[in-house]
Amino acid sequence: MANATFPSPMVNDRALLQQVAQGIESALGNLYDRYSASLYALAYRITGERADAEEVVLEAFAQMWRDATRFESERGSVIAWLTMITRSRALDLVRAKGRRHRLADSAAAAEPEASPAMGGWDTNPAAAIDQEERRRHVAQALSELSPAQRQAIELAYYEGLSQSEIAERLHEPLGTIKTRVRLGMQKLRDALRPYFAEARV
Amino acid sequence: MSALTLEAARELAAAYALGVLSHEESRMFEAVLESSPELRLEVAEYREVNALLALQQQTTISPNLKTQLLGRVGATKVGVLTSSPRRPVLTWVLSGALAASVLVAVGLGRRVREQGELLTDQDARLSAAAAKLAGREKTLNTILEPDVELVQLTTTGEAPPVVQIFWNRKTHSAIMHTFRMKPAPAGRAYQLWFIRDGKPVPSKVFNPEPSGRFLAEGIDIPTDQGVTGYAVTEEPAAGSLQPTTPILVFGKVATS
Repeated sequence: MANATFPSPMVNDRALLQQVAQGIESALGNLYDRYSASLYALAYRITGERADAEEVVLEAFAQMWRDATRFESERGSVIAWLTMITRSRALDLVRAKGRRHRLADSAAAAEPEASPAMGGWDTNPAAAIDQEERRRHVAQALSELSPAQRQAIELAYYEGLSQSEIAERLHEPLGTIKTRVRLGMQKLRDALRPYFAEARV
Repeated sequence: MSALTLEAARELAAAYALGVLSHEESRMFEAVLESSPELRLEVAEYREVNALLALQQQTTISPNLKTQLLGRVGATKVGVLTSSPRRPVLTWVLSGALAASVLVAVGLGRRVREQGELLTDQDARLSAAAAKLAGREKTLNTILEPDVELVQLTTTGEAPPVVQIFWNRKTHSAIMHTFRMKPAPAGRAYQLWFIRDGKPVPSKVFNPEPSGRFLAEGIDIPTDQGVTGYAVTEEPAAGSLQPTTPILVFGKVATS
């Protein structure tokens, strides 16, 4: 069940995506208002360049526009799909440019941080507050991982390194890295399940 | 390599959702995924985790980007319209010519308007880029002046934050550049201090971008007499008259 304090935006997302599939631009605009800020921040964190991050976000939403009819709800929520597209495009761009932004201090970077700007604050304050609450819970969940687990997950998530590459980067056995990724992600899943866009369990 | 059992595949579900499995592991995992709704559910859950992780960092997004997006998808909308369900033939016969001409007129009008907005937006971006470039050139020229000395503020540890002060003693001004410095917590900022006669003197209050970078020009350093170093602390967003937290990075001025 979704946590009552944080109502799921899922129903609206799906309805909006159906409208997107029918070519209704305002629905695309609504989804953009809802998620562009966090997707842009993700793309920026991966690419390290504002122009690249903007292009990634544009491409991600344009792909959603083109492929809305191919969305498979079984594979996750709309935002999970959009995140996958954005992350994938950002990592591809970085690889294509031959850039690899090594995390300066991955463990420290995952510490709970300030929220310099809540996405969509001017267009949808309620959603922005909801999102900010979710963000804080994510920060809390991340802070409860061991630094080693956090580091391994961040290298995978933000740099797109394979488990073998992470093991090489950190001079650790591959089995150790696999365990860190698995246990860390399990902890995050268990802690964040109430905040999934669509409650599944 | 033999086929995966469901249990073994479940252990790889998180890594698969993160996209960090090897090609061979992915292939074997997908073979199990194909026939296991339970595994698909697990992967979907990890994708939700991925989506939530994206909330970690937020930053300001250009307000023009939405206009660009709508302009971009508008250019593809003809394809979307042609894929909508077919109308009865009779309807087309009776109203086809009129509807087509109206659609063309409306469509063209909107396209022209959207393209106009796009061009205006691109002009604005071009102007902004030119202004940014001019600013960068000015900064570069300032840094390259012969009287400028570099004071590098840092600390110990792997990949520590760094603050560079390009200090021109003659003009009593400085340019500050930071990197690897994460944004300050909510309601907080960083503050630069110059150390004069052993005492901290308050200077620039700043907050780096999520990339850890920040550039500030024209920082007023009233005198070079007795200035022995620079330091940065974390302070309230409005800054402080005296440091209230330990020094984060420090750099000594070379004695001449």
